[in-house]
Amino acid sequence: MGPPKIRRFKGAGIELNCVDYGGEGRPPMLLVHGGAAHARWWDFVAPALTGRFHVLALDQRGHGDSPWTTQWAYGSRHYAADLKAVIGGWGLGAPVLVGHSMGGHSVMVYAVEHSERLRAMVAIDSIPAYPEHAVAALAAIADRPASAYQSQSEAVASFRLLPGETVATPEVLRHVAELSFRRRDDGKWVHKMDRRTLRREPVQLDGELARIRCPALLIKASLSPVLSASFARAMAARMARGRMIEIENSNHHVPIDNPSGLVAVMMPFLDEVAALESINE
Amino acid sequence: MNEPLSHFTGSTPRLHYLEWNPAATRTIVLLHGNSANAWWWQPLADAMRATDFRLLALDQRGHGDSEWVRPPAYGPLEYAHDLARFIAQYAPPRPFVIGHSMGGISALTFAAEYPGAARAIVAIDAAVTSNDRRNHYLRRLRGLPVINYPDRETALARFRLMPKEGEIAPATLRTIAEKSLGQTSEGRWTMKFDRDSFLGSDGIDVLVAIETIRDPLLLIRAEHSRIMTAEGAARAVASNPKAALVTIAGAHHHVILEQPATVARTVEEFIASV
Repeated sequence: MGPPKIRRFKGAGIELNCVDYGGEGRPPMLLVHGGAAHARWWDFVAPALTGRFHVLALDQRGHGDSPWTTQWAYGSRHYAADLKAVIGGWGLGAPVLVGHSMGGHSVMVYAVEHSERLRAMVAIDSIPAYPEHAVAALAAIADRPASAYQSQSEAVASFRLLPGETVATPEVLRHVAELSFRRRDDGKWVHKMDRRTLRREPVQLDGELARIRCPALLIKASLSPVLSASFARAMAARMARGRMIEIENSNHHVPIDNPSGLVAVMMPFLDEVAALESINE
Repeated sequence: MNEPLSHFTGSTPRLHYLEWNPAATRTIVLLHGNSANAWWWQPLADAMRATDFRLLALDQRGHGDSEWVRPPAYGPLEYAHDLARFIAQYAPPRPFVIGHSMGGISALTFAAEYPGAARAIVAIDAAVTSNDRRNHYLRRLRGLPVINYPDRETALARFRLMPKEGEIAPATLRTIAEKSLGQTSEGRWTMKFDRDSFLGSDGIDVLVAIETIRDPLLLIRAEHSRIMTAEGAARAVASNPKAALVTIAGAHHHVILEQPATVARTVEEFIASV
């Protein structure tokens, strides 16, 4: 697999990096990574979807190869504003919007306000509100200084996921790790993420899910430490056209834990959305 | 029952557990509450009349002699997945699962997450709803300084339960205290659980899990408990046709230490009815 094509889109007052996996001319699908991750986490998922969609994956502000903000501007409202600007400005039409973890939270925040601009939405192991202690724990990490490494291999060796448990293969982990660091001007290797993004300011969506009117799929990782099956089912039930499905053999990091399983659980939902659209046409 | 056997799992995190009656045919897995450990089940083990139960009491992650997790990861789902891994490797399929307090939340979450993986569930005096008062209480507990003592006797003498309610036999309390203390790297004595475990169930609404459980379920409430409220228990049992509620008269939150014989009879009757 060669390196995918890179594009830039206008976010909310910021130019965002976007990976274009191909499938031009097909209905667009925008993939939104989780916190501390980046667009290339979708490398093992996107190629299986380009036969059906024009698949793009955004680097959210402060992540991957997208720029950092001068002042802290990393609340859910900022990410959702970026989605609005990208989708509104790209000229590709209404997408299927897919987000993992914090990216799924951004997707739900967007869908609450703009369901009519979405073909469908998928949130993967995302929660509508963050517990206070989780926000505090992440903020504590944000305050620690970033590590700088002498070499890329040293940086990759230091790579850890949060939460720590994963069933991703060593090759997949190594791939996303290698793309998680950049070489600084002084020659040292540092994480691409702006640590200030760990200072979260989630929109509390608990009472808002009923406003999501587009077809919505909530995917719960079987081994998730953040989203329980019962809670996920209750969330989906609150959405007008929501449903929940569980993906086996996956910790929280679904796009790298079980990429083929992820495609497999999304497909019947996407087929149904397409079938409904053809009836409506 | 006799002194239990002590074992460790080979899993991550590494968990310690106690085993009574290894040769018995039916198995009950026991989950202690927050800041407690497997030894809290010794009074119940002593009080069980039926001798055909093998009891497996787990030290949940961050508690007793089980491993701590860094960064802290002490949510109900984490305990539930630990339990699923434990049962898959160290217990026969479909055991009975009983949890007290936070262990009750683990058991209920497990039942909702892994339908059919337990023969039946008993949750004893577990908080079923989250509210600001409870979250505030948990954060306050987390914020308390870690107190340690120069010698074991002083630490034993200072051992108290939280909440400080109910009449516990001094000998029972002494045994629990002995099993709850560990030494710091400086050789001082302190409670050997991870204080970060207080924050895992902040904001958790257990009612949602209870509603979806399809396995036989018994809720046991201590009459004077302020942890499992009468109103919360009533809502929980009304939400699920498979659920039953028994209230133990005169008891407080630490009912498994306070009235182990009553708990044992209640559990035995429930199991006989399943």
